[in-house]
Amino acid sequence: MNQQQRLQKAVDNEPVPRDLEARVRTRLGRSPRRGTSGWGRLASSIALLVFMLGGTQYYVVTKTRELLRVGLDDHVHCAIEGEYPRQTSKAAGIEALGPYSPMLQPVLDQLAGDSLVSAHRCTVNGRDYVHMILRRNNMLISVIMTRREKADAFPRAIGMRTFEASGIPVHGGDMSGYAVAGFEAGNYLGYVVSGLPGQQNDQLAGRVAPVIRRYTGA
Amino acid sequence: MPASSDSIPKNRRDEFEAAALPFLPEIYRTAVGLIGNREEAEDLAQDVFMQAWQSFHKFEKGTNMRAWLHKILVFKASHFRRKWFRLQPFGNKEEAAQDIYQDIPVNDPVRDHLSDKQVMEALANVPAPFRETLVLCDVREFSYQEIAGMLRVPIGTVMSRLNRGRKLLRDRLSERGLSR
Repeated sequence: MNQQQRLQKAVDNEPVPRDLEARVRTRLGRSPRRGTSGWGRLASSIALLVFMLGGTQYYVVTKTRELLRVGLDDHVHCAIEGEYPRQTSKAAGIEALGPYSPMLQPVLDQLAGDSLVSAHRCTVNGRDYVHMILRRNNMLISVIMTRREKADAFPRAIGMRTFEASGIPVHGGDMSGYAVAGFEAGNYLGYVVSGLPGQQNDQLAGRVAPVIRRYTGA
Repeated sequence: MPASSDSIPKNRRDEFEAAALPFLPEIYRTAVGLIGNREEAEDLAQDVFMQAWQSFHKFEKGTNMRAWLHKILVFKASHFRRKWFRLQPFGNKEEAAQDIYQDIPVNDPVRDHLSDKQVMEALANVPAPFRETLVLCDVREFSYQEIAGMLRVPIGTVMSRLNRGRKLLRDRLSERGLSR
């Protein structure tokens, strides 16, 4: 036997571990095959990106609408369903607002031309509100404040009806036939809700937001 | 034509296993010859099949599965050696100067009484670049061209390393009194 034959024999007599094939099969079973082409991988990446962006956008829209509904619920309860205290003078409103009364006149100044219907504090769905209702022609406009709860923060995102008023982000939306604009003011959420076109309602919110923020100490 | 992703059947893994796994014993034994350590050869052989599975879509049907797996093995083994800092420096000067035309006959007689273990030990003592050429050529009988492709070196280098490897192995066997 020559050197090459002897070498072949020695290598080929090397015993193969009995469980080696089983181990390879097990590892193969755990490993997904990367059989996708370059275009396929690109498509997968794009799909994942779209999914993530879509998921983020879904969260933003859902959360924003959830927070806007907090203001809308109070507007519907008091202004639309008429569950607000009838007041014959501004003094009655000032009295009803209690510690929040100093902000009434500055808010009215921002909504010059609109008449005060009611200023009061109320509780809707277990949440306390400070609520000022004004009238423009036959339309009621609510300026609302409520204390922020733990997760009450408007998410920031591109594509929503969001703008800044004196550095305060204002988030607008149309819900249940009403225009709702909401913003954060320190420990409070502020809202303007009305039956006005969305843009006009947003403009009102843009004027009111700095006033409310000033009084909430934010 | 490479198998495209569109034509991959659901039982592609079965296809892979049927085509590749019969070579597992050979790949493992070659790995032992290349790196001289059984436990590490087990890991290496498994890695080869994992890599082959991951790259199965690149495998051209009808081509040589055995050579393809060995190519992956050689690639993995070289990385394996680098990883553990066991690759012995090997300059071109040595390759160029040595033995290209000094053919060492492969039919040198070897003593009959030597054991497989002794031969494997002698092989393990041949420096890595010569050993892998020796294993691929004299044990697995790949052509010079195939080996040059696997090692990514010129054919002349393969021939040089082979001659040197044969001589070194003969010397190692002689040191143990195993060669006539």
